[in-house]
Amino acid sequence: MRPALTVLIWLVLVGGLAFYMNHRTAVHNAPHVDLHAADGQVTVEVTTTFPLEPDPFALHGSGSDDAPALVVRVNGRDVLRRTERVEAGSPIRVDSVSGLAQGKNEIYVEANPPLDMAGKSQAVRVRVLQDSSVIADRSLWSDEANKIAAAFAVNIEAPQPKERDTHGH
Amino acid sequence: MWYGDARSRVAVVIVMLVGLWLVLSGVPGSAQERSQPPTPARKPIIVCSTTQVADFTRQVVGDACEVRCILAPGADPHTYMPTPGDAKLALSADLCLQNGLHLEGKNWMATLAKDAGKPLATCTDGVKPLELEAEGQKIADPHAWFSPRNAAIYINNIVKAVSALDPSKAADFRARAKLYLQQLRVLDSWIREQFNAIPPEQRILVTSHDAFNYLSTEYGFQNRAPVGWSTGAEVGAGVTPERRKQVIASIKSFGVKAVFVETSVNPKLVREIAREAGVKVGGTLYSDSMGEIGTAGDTYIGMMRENVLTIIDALK
Repeated sequence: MRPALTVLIWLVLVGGLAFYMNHRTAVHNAPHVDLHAADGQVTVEVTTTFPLEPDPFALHGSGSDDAPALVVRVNGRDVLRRTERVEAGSPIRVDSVSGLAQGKNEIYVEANPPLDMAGKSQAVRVRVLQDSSVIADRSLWSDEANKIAAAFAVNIEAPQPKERDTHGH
Repeated sequence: MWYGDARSRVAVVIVMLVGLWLVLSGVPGSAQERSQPPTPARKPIIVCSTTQVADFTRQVVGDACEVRCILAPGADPHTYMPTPGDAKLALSADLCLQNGLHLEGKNWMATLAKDAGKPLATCTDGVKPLELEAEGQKIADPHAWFSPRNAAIYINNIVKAVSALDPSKAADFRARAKLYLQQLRVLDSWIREQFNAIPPEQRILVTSHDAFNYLSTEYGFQNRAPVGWSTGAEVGAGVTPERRKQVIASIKSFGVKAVFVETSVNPKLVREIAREAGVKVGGTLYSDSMGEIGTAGDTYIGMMRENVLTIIDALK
């Protein structure tokens, strides 16, 4: 009886330790979440000088929409993927953007013009609005042959005092 | 008593310590480490039917696999007859790749792979083929690589096949493919820009055989050829007196400046047609096969670039 009890206790202790170590590894590899994320309503608005079309030169196998016409990423996370054709000059808005943190954030935009528009420079206008105020307004230009793929930094200010955490965290 | 025995106690402690060591040493990064297969003793061998397929494959796999090609530069895939050496090569393969759409006359690559019992992937899977009407039959045009947009489909199919062959290198295959797809995009854009220098009414491409329909459709050319889609004896293939007459009539009526011979097809017929129609031979185009190693056309991008420049120089 005692040997069995000894082995049982050992299994519980070592098993618990193994579980803890595995869990710790998973937590360590998980994406960083900023506990001080921006609270204000942030909108990203994209307007292109060209019709957006699915990319015939995309690498497939990474998801259900493998050949996106437009991708918007915030801090490395997709917030918008459009695979259908969108006419030139139509603003595309992403409201209540999540994943933003106070301070510096990176906005990445990838937009694909039709192949028959190659040879002409194209542009995408990206506006970032916080609580309806424009906090960034950038034009991203393509090389003649390429789709537009560019990133820029935008600074998100601290939330208004009324929205602040009363505990000072 | 058992637990009172000093030697037994020492044994239990040793077993526990060994167990503890095994648990601790196995934990950090364990999921990632476990998913990696052991390093193979030799590089996987990929046997490709045509030079274009082999080049696409090399762009994706880099040095991770050994890429071998059945056809030599300048060889004709429509009429090629596999040799015992090809059968031996197929036996050594871990994966076989073919163009498909019957480019490989009498499906010789599929037969080689089947006889060797090796997996075969077809690069044109997913291509929307152009249809040629011949003798009342509709035939899918196999020369799909002449559109860089289709070349992107070849690349995607190759990535899928080689990733299944060696999943541990899939990330590298995808990374290389992404870079190459960007190069194809630039190539496509460059071709559009270059061909734009030829007035639309002069964009008539007269070549040895019906290989340039995808190029013509993509970039606004009319295509004329005295020989059908294949240089072999398949339906709708080969030269007919009717086609020959039509081509000469087209050259005269459209005021075509030049006609082109092909690296993988005997130039005799086109030279005769040029003489008969009173036009010059504008140069030699890479068609069913890329150029010899060391020439400007020894890669897909190189062969496309050289073809475009040859066409522009002759038709502008």
